[in-house]
Amino acid sequence: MNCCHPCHAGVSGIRDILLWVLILCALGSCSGDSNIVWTESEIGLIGSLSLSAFPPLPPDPSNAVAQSPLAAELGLKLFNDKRLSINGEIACSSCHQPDRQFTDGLQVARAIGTSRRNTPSIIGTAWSPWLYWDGRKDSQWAQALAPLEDPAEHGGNRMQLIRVLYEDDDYRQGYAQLFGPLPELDDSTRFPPQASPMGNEAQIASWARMSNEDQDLVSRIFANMGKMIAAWERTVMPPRTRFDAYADAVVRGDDIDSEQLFSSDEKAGLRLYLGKARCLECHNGPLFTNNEFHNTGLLPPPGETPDLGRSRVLEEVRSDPFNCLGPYSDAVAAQCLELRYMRTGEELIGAHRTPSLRNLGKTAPYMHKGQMATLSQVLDHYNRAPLALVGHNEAEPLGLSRSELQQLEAFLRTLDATGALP
Amino acid sequence: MMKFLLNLIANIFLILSLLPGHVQAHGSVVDEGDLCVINIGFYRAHFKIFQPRTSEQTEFCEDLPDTGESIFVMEYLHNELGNVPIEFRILRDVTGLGRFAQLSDVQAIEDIEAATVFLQKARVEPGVFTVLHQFEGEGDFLGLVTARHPETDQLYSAVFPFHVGSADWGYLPLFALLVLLAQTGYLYMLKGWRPFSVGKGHTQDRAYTRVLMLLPVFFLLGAADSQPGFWVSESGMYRVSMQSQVNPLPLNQIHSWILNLQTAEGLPVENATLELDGGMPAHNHGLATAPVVTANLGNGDYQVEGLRFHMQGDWVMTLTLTIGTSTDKIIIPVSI
Repeated sequence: MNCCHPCHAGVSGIRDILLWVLILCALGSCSGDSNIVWTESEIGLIGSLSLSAFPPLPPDPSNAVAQSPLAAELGLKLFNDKRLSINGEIACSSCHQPDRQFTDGLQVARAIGTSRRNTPSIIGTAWSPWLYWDGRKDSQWAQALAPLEDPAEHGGNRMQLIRVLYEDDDYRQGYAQLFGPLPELDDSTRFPPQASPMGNEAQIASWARMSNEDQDLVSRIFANMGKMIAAWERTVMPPRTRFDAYADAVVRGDDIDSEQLFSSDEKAGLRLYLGKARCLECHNGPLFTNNEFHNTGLLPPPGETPDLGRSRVLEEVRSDPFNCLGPYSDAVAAQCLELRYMRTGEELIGAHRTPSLRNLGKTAPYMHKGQMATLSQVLDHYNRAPLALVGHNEAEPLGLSRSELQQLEAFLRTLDATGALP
Repeated sequence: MMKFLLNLIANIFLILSLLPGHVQAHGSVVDEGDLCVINIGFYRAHFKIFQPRTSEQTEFCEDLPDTGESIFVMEYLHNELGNVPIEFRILRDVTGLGRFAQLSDVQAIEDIEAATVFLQKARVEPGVFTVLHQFEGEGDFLGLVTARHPETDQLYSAVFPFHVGSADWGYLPLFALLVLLAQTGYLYMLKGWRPFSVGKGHTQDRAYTRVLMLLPVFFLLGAADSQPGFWVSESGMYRVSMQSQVNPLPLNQIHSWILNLQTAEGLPVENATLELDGGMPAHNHGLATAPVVTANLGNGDYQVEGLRFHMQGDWVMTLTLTIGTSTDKIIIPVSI
């Protein structure tokens, strides 16, 4: 009897504890909680990230055929056309591979040669005022032209490239409809077989022998080629993801759907994303990017000095003949707001454009040089926010625990497109 | 215990200040505490060295712990450096002078090319200068940086001796000994000597922190003083209201504003020259664009074009007004 009393008390104690645990869990305050209650402001932020909040496709006044279905159709054909290279083996799609969300899975691009940076996706670039990691182009069409003449990429030259349009019936007829007939490019006295202002010595010399009018004519045809590619690229939208379905359910106030769509870790990760982890500051809007330039203190790959990024191209952007204010743009000066009010200054030293976080599962390795193979390396980097080798790292240490980093990663995985979704 | 520690720190500083300058600074590279600076004649640049493969983002001022990949960075404190050719050379220290080597010693080297292990020929680098060298072995080296005068052909040089490889103790043993002696002396005479009161320092610190914490409150009170929709200038003479082309203020979209400038009495100010810039104080960065006041629309209305906010949160816009010879400032806080 003497021993029974304490024994009995012990059992009852445990039962009480279990009961309390159950009550607390029901109230949603025990660990492994799946019942995050979003505040009004969080719901607003979650909604702002959903594809349902996508603003309408912004116009591109510098490209007169931006909305033309014929231009887009020809643009897709050009995007996949390997004749647009010096050896007939490289198309845009060689590096911007559709099944990898238009990236190539490599640290830095490899085509005719090895490129300087990681291949960025083309998805959603219609919303970006600047293209490339350093933003050295200010439109999709101007960007599309540069790799064609880059010796490390397509290795082509302006004269050879536009002849592909001339020698293909589809292109020639379509071009005539969109821009007027092509000139007689087989007149070799006016149009040498290989010539470009950017090419090798022989090509530059051939280009210099052409009349100013013919140089301008060829550059205009070349620019129009870019405008057709851009007309198609504008139509490339990010696929809907589990996150979008969840965000829409949260905005609707549909608790049942939102419970089924996100695990407790994913919700906790989303809360960190919006708050403590400070991801939203740069990765905002439905594309999860502000398309702006930031220095985040990344190490250069072995054997390389730090990439100076945006600060290095400001002059190039201004003097680019294919920019919004240039002779091949269809915009009037008043429409070139981004170029006219372009920012300069020390903040841009070592700064690169914020990439989208959609489909990270298919776009590794990460960063402008593909320095990081995994998402956890990326998160660890931002958690530590080390000193920048050049310029100033805008990020600050976050002090996230390992489990928080895992939750954040779990959330980021919900931005991968995975087939049919509600 | 606290006093002991304070005295220890005081001793360290005392001895550091008594030691000759070249302990902290070898040649033309000077460790200014939070900044390592190279002096090339009258030019100055923030100087730092990284060994990314072995020490990641750790910044070194001169001596390097490891051999292998080393990145030398000069961020100009003198803008003109971005317009002149800069040559960067690393030599094996054949002078035998180590940390005491100076420019004249380098100039006295007979065959400078033979001693050179790295040479970046003169080149113009806007903004920041970087070079990379793989150190094959440990040892003493000399850095030689040469830059030309922007107008004349005058050359300016900087020399910095440094050591590569396993930690060079240098003056550390001597330094430690001096600190130990000073500290022992202090302990010996501790009874009866009270150099300063710890508590007082604390109070001052706390008061200082409190003032700092109150600053935003003053700022908000100042803003609350003005009429709704208006922000008042620093002098109190002018006020401005703002109308955005897009409402609410959009994220990541370039747009324009109309600013209406008035005197404190509400009369339109039509003859002002305005400049608008802004940033996020919490994140220590500016706007994504460089907005410009493009039109004076009359009646105190001014058009500003080229505004784009690339982050959600609190922004602080600064409007600088010039009227005749006087200037004034108006702070416009906005939230995205």
